[in-house]
Amino acid sequence: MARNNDLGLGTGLWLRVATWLSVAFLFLPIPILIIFSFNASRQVTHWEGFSLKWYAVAFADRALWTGVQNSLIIAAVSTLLATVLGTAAALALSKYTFRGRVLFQNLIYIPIILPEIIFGLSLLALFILIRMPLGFTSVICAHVTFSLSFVALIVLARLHQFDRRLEEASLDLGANRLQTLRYVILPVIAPGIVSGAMFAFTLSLDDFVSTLFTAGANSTTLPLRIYSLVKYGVTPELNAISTLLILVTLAALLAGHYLQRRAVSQRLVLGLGGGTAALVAVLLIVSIALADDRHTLNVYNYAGYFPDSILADFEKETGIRINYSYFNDNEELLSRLSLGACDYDLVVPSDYMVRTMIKLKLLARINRESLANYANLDERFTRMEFDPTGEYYIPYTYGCTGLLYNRELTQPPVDSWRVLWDERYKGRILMLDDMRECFGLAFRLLGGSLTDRDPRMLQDALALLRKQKPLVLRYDSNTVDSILLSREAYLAPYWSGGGLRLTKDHPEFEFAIPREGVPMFVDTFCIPRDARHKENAERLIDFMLRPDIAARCMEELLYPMPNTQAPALLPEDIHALLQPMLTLDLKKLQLVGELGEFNKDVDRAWTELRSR
Amino acid sequence: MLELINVTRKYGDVVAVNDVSLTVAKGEFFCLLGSSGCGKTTILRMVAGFEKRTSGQIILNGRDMGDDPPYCRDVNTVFQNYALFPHMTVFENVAYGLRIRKCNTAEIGTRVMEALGQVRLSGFEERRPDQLSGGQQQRVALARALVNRPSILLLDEPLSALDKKIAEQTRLELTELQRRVGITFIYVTHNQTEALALADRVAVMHNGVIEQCGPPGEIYEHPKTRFVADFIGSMNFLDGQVTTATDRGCRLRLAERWDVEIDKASPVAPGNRVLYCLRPEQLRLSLLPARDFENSVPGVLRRKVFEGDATLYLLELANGQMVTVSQNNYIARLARDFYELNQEYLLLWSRTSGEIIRA
Ligand SMILES: Nc1ncnc2c1ncn2[C@@H]1O[C@H](COP(=O)(O)OP(=O)(O)OP(=O)(O)O)[C@@H](O)[C@H]1O
Ligand SMILES: [Mg+2]
Repeated sequence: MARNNDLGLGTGLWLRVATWLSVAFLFLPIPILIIFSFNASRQVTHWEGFSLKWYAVAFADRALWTGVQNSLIIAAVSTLLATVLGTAAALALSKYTFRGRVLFQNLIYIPIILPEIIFGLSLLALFILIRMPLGFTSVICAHVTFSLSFVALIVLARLHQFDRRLEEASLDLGANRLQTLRYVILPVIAPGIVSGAMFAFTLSLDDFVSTLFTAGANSTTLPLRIYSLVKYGVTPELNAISTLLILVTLAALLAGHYLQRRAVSQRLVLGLGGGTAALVAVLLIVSIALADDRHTLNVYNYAGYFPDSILADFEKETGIRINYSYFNDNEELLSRLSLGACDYDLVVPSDYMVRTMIKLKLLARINRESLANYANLDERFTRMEFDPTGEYYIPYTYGCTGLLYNRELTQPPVDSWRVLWDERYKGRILMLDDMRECFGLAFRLLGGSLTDRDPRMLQDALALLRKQKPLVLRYDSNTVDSILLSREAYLAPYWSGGGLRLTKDHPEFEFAIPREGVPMFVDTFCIPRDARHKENAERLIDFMLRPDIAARCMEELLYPMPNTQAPALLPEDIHALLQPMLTLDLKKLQLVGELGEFNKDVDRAWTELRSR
Repeated sequence: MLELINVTRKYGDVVAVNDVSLTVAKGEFFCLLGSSGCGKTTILRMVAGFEKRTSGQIILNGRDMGDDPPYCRDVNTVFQNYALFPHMTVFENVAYGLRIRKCNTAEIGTRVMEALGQVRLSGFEERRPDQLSGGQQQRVALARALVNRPSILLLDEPLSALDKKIAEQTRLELTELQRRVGITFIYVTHNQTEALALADRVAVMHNGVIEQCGPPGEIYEHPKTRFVADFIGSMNFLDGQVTTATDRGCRLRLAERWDVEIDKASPVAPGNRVLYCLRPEQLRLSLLPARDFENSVPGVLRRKVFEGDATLYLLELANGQMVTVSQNNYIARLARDFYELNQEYLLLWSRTSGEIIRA
């Protein structure tokens, strides 16, 4: 039918445009993600050629596969339980009238409506209260509680369509209630149960929040692992993993679609799914029963901060099995440790956090006599100001904020923080999106320190940073590498780990330690007070202090370690790269202290700077 | 064989079934007839065991079934919407009861095929219910119940979802089938034609009470209550009072105006207020006066309704009441165009016609 105004045409056109736009909006990120998984560079947004190396990295990533394995086990078991319980709940709700039925029905919605973070928190509180150790069981319990609700709702919806007369017909034909359930009700609502189970499975597989709260030392899942990788720096490895996940999901979808079109599918899917889940459950129970607890070590650390290959060697050498779980910052570590429900034997806090933990009596004294390689440590690092006795920590690595710049685009000398105020680099300066870094830098230029907590100097620092602001391209901490590589910016304050990594791959870059001094951090090995495998933890510490191992660590992480013997064993290029860090004048360095209430003032000044 | 004694079922204040007693003999085709909501389904469901009695007894083959669950009762039901299991084939549907009873496979095979043969569905074993027409589904439901050879088969309006033609055909098949298998049928319907055509005996229900129970002819010709008279077929009701009564007949004064004579015995006494019930086909229109075996009342023709085989004439009596007369068009072909609207005619009927019901 023709319309006599052009609205008809317009609508059709707009509709099409809008449709395609929304499709693009929804799906464009996915091809981009896939394309960059084949990037030869480690930058996520900077194309340097085709390569499959990130797939190799992903396949070789042991922690990743542990995560996949844990995720699958947890998903399978929790799906099985949630499906059985959820179906039972739905049947009870639809078939029986009992006291509190309405209440129960509404309670079922709660895990769906409640923000997951509150849910996770309350579960955590419960687990701690009933002294349930955090681990597989607690994560599975958490997943079951919320996926149960979804299963129950889906099955309930299916049951609402269920014709009660089918049930009566079955009873009438001589089947008792159980037989009726088995032969009539369950088969008819099977599609609901299957979709509920599939839903529960995916929910469990990609749950992050409540897993974060309830996971313990040995139950790190894939999402937790991926998130920790993100914090550690987004690399194409993540793209590769994601691409693989997308492929698996697509395959599962296609398989599901194919099965659904076949007549026998439901029974088959039910059987297969149930069978697999049951098998996994049995395997899990058996493996838990068989695992020799004495020979385990639960490490809680940043993802990848102990190189996989070194952990593997340690396991081979000692027969100790390492469970590695991740935190993403010191505060997370502190909150976990102070809850006391987690079974950690070795943690890696930074300097200031060690002080806090000692104050809170969270740490055990380390038996330094048992460490044969203790003597290899640089003495300047063994009794630092945050623990002058040196009883509670062993230094692991250190780092600092320095100046990363492109030698081809700048004029020497670049050896002072002052260059960040140089008009010549207007619009080419990148600053970290981090208030402590920015204000710390300004304070240092003014001859003071943030930790002095001087409000007058804060005003001066703000003025200084304001003066700098017109020169600044952007405040950004996450994509510093890419921005410098694309030559959008020429120079930026950056952390030594990332800075050295970029210099290693791209010789035009240089990482400098400005002469005014730089803020530094020291990451340490610590043992929680109630660690159950303290001796195993000490063995790993000692292992990491061995010169050959320390050298491998440094090579892999590009973080210097305060080890007097190791540098000599480094390959020449790595040695050269780390040289400025190894020869740092500790007097120029300043450990980042706590700011206390002053933090709020700095925060206000930071907001002021960023908003105007 | 099946006996209901003073059975009552209440839902809160609603009395769905009120003190019902009835007996169904072995091999009988028994019909429960009544308008919507009168409690027919409730009776059936109590017999099947889906519904509990509030009071009374239900006795099957000499044993009180008490609160036995449905699966312990030797009765099977054909549901109004058939309630076939959607996930099973026709064969599996029919075999369900036997499989539950753990019959051996060979016996199941032969009995299912036999039952499907009885309902003329051989060859449909592998279909699923949604691949069948309504009539075929209905027959599967029948076979599924029959194959268990229950003492009693309960059918709740099994034909109501079928279109008229198929329903009529199935109705015929149903009687034949019942004769052949010899199983007692209790058949619920609100369709009087169905009930009269099928049943050996009909129980007419109203408001949870059985108003009258008997063979179809008796129900049709000798309704005992106004409800039954009204519900079965169409009926003209004339108010009257008995003036004289003998054991061979009586005289009535209708609408306090017209005296008529009834030549058959009725249990009435002079002075009784009664309803005189006349079926439209028992009445006749005429310009000529009544013959000596007839009664007559004058009326004005107000409407004519052509119905194909017959024509209905609606006459208004002097007291304002409308009376319907039905005349066979074949017999009175010439008369059809003869009667004119708004003319006065005589209503005539035989003195042996009509029923007297105490008002
Ligand atoms: N579960 C129930 N709760 C309350 N009242 C009910 C219930 N079931 C039936 N009734 C009432 O009992 C009465 C008889 O119901 P029943 O289903 O036996 O009627 P019916 O004769 O089969 O009617 P229809 O021809 O419409 O099927 C009705 O008034 C109905 O409203
Ligand atoms: Mg009914």
